[in-house]
Amino acid sequence: MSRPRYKLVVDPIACDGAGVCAELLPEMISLDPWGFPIIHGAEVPPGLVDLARRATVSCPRLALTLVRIES
Amino acid sequence: MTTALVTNPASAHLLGAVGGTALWYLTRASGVVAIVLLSATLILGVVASVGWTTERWPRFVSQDVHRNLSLLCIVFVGVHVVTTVLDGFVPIGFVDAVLPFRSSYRPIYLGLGALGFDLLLAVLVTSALRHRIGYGSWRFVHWLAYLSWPIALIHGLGSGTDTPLPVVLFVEAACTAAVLAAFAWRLTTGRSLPIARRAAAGIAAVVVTLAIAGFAAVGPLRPRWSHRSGTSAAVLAQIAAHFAGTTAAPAATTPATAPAATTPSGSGTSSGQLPAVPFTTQLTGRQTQTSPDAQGNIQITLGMHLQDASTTPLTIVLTGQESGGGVSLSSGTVTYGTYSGSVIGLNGGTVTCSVQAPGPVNLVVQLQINQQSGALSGTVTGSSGGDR
Ligand code: HEM
Ligand code: SF4
Repeated sequence: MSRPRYKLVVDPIACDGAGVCAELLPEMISLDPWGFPIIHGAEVPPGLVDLARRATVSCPRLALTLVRIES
Repeated sequence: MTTALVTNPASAHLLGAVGGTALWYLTRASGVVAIVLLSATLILGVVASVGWTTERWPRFVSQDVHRNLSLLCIVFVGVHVVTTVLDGFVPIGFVDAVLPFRSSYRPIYLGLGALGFDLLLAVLVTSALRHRIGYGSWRFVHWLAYLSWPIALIHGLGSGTDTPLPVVLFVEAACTAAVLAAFAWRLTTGRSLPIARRAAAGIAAVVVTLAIAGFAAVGPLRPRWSHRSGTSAAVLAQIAAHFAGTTAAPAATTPATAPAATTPSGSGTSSGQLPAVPFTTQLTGRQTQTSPDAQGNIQITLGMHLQDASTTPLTIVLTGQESGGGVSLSSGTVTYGTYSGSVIGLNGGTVTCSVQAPGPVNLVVQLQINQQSGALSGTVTGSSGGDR
């Protein structure tokens, strides 16, 4: 059984560019000039999954979600 | 109407205060700490919300501190509630702590406390379930956090024994200033709020602040507050005798035409014939009280007679100082027959005295006071005080 794989998804309507996600997960998220997140990489590396989950929990707008990749 | 002091619903809470001193202090202290933590929680919520950050203080730090402070705050509120219930015991139950406006002791101010507690619980529970309930519902409930703050403050001002204490007032004033500043900051800088709502919230904040300040000025900060908020004169006299210096509003219901007699009303009628210890016997008498003199000194006199064959006179005089709208009693003296002694303890309607008559005797007086007439009745138990 292989371990689950995840990707990060931003809801651009809910997101207000608060930038907490980029503070918590700079490995995968940078901000554009308006403060909106740009996600790097299609899949969250296994070692970063916990940190990614932490970032989704801390998003003030609940705009960032960790979505399981079906395989 | 004769009311047993300890079961008088309007008073038992404060009487408990006199009895369970440690719990009572814990209640008061945890209440003050809770309002400070609530203020800090709210301010950090604002700091996070307006998105204030520095190199060293990213936004997620504001959020985390905000969340952790809120948990600490609810812990203190929990201690505050539990100690209140355990201390007051009869009149305030756990149900009163969550269902507002049904307690018999200062229903409005305790009710506000319960309401504030409910709001905090709602904010906490919805925050814990944020992902489950979605952003909109969480956001809506979270606005109530702003409402919980003035509610908690009025609760504290209206029901706190500590209100007239300068330190507590200072803490509350500082919290008010800080929270108002934070609120103003939120209204002027925060995003995602239509201008009309900001204006309405600003006006509401000003109105509420003025109302609370006005309320404090005419209510708790003026003398005789606990009297007006539903605590009887006789009870206040008892509370006043709390030697640790608890403040409670004075109850000068008996304007003194003359200083209260410090000698038993029946003095001179009997002398030596004291009942042999140990004994328990009925007693009757009257309570009188002086108005504060120029120096603010107050005297509460419990003039009684033992119902033994010789109707031995027993008089307890409690003296104290009016201070900041309250009375802090410093001492109590006893005259028993022709002997005298001092009050060594007071718990609800029970006064414990130690006299030399002529050997050491402990007297435990259990009193019921008719609050209209000041008539006293009860029992006194005498025992040898030799082991003291
Ligand atoms: C005693 C309980 C609490 C109080 C009084 C409180 C109060 C506040 C206040 C006043 C705000 C600012 C809202 C605004 O104007 O936008 C806020 C924001 C916030 N609170 Fe709370 N809160 C409490 C508990 C919690 C808990 C337990 C959490 C757990 C996750 C939480 C998470 C948040 C978040 C995520 C924000 C938004 C921060 C941002 O926009 O970056 N709060 N809170
Ligand atoms: S934390 Fe949430 S709201 Fe803020 S930028 Fe990231 S996704 Fe957007």
